[in-house]
Amino acid sequence: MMDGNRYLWDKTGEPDPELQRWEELLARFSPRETPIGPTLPARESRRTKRVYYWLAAAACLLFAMGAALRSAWQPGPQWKVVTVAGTPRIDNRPVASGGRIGAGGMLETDRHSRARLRLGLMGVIEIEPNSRVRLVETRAGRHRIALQSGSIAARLWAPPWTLSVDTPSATAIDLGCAFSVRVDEKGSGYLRVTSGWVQFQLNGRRAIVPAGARAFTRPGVGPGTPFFEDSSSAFQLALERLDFGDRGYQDASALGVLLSESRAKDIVSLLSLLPRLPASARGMLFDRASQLLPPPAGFTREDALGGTNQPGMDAWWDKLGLGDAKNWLVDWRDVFASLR
Amino acid sequence: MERFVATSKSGSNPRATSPDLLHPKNGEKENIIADEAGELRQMVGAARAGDDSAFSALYRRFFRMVHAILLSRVPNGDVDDLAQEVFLQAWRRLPALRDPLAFGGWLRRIAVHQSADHLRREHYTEQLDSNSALAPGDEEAWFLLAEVRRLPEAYRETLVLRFVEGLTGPEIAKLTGLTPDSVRVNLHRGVKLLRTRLKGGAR
Repeated sequence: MMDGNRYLWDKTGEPDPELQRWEELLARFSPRETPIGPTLPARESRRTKRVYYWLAAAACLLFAMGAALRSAWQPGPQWKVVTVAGTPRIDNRPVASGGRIGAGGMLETDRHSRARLRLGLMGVIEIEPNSRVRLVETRAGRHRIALQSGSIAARLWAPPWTLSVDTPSATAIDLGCAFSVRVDEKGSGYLRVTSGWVQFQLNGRRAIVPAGARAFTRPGVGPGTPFFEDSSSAFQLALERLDFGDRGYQDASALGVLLSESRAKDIVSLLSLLPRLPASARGMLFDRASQLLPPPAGFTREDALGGTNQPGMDAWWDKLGLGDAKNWLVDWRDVFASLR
Repeated sequence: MERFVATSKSGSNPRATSPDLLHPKNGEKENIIADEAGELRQMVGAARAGDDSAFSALYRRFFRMVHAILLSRVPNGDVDDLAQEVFLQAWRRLPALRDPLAFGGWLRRIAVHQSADHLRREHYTEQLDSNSALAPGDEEAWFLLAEVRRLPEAYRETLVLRFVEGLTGPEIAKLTGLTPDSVRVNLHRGVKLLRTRLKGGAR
């Protein structure tokens, strides 16, 4: 190796004067000392970062699962129809395998046939024989069917107000539960609740029906007062006279029978009936109801007669211990039952 | 918590290179290389785990390389600040470095990108430094530096390391991660081209 090349390479050998001159000139651009280094910011440990990664991944996974579940939850614009027995028909055509019904479609069963409507993962509606059901509306969070005649049984695990069932004389609104509705050709019928609560209403007339109770309905009148199915026949007859009889809530005789036949459990009927009665009859009912379950502190007889203390009435209802009408999540078992 | 990267001891000569390192005796060379690789691996590993004293050691070892890379690309007055930025970035991104022995080349790439970003931001043209306030005798030095900066990238960087920072070819190879042969070629071709240009040859 030539000396000049060696000097250029490792500063050994004969120095090259020109290279030495360059070294001398350019060395002035070199810092004399290594300056103070930068202020180092605290760095997250790898473990912390790993935790963040896992948390982010878990959040993404939960989001994806939530989105998938939400998608599967809703029934979509076309509900799946399953033939359970016989030959159900959609718009006069037999239900084919993988049959579906959209808004406006009519599902009919004869005396030999039964069908099942699947509402995604949200639940199912069983269509009993001799029934006519129209799908009125279906969109996210709002589904509506009309039972023109016959019977249906619904099981749902969904937020309140998700499903409505119109009948010729009242509308049943699901508050998160299992229930059945039956109406005859004239439009009379009943609602029966087996889990949770259902609101049964026509115009301003309303009945909140808890599990184990039933409420009748009549065309032109609307829903009657809810009652437990194990109440006495005399109690039920008296209630029917009050709700649908000629003298209606003015029937003091029927009211007398009702009060005398009432058990502790029947306070549900009494409290439902209280706002329907004329003010002159409310005192008797309040007295009996107070014996069965004392009203909350601050709720007086005058409040009952005047019908103005709604918070007090709500507190009385709460004392029944039947659960929150909107607490649909506690009925989670119903959805598994519906998927079987 | 704020931490400062330590500097070299006051009074020490940063340009001094141990003669033993430059001229190892026969049979010792491989041992020295292995020891240095192990030391580098250890320092990078510790710094990656958050040890700021290990990062200080890396800073001291590689500062001149970063300084040279920046000086060959950006105005002299911006070099110190940019060097700090380069090491800050290195500190932040160090956990992503897989091979500790590749630290030099990895740091070099950060410095190159940093200088390119800086030039883009500041919209510099060819004139990198103002030489309006030159000290007597500096004019020739500025002219020489300007000529070095006009060399192709690989040559100018290696020449700045050799003539500004005073490193030898083997030291340049060790710091930058380039092979000794590449460094040798860059030095020889760079010097040859610089000589031609200084004699008024092709520009």
